[in-house]
Amino acid sequence: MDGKKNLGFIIGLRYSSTIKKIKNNRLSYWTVLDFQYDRFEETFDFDSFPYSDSIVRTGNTARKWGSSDNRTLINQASLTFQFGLKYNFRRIRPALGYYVGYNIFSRTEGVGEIAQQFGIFKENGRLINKLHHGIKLDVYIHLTPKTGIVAGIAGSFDVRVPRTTYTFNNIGSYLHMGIDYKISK
Amino acid sequence: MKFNLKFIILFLAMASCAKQSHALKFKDSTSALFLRASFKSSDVILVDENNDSLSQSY
Repeated sequence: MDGKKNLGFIIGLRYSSTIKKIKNNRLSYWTVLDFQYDRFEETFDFDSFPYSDSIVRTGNTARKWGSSDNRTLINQASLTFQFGLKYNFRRIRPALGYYVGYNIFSRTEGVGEIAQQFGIFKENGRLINKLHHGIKLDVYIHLTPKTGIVAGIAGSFDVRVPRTTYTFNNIGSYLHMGIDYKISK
Repeated sequence: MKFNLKFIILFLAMASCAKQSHALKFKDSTSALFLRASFKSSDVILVDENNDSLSQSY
């Protein structure tokens, strides 16, 4: 399986507050509610799902497909809730968190027979795994008292695909970079 | 996990610019709400084989 053009955007709200009992108030906790949208291409092939139950059902059909590619354009959106701690060390502030996401929208275009038959998608094109979770490391760089840059890396934990021996991850690991703007006083 | 080299270089460049400018005073005991907007580059749809042979279906 080969992924290309994996790009998307994230928009969300972050609440942050310092933990007053910590010396110098340098440690703060934060929660984020993010909306994430992805649009990307994936190429599925027979080798992507060698142990799927669907092979048993499709029998010779799977053999006939061989290693032919099935290029698929996927649009998906998810809501992600995150929480964690941020260390307010001067201007560059690292934050470590945990996130749980829920896939609220998923559509595929040009989906091939393999992707449908091998149980990655439902017949209507919706992804079967709705929930995903993982850890996240962000860095906040404060430019002005109200604005800053946020960049980070997120790594997802695998989720078991129902009725198969495969783990699945419909958000995956991602890098992100953007703007963090203080909307409260 | 794939790393986008341009992304990392851009991030390091901005980080170094921020470090060189004078430090902001951090206000103690603050609670604040922020709006965030980011672009992401991801490895989406990962399918990995579970090596636990006992749980294989055939």
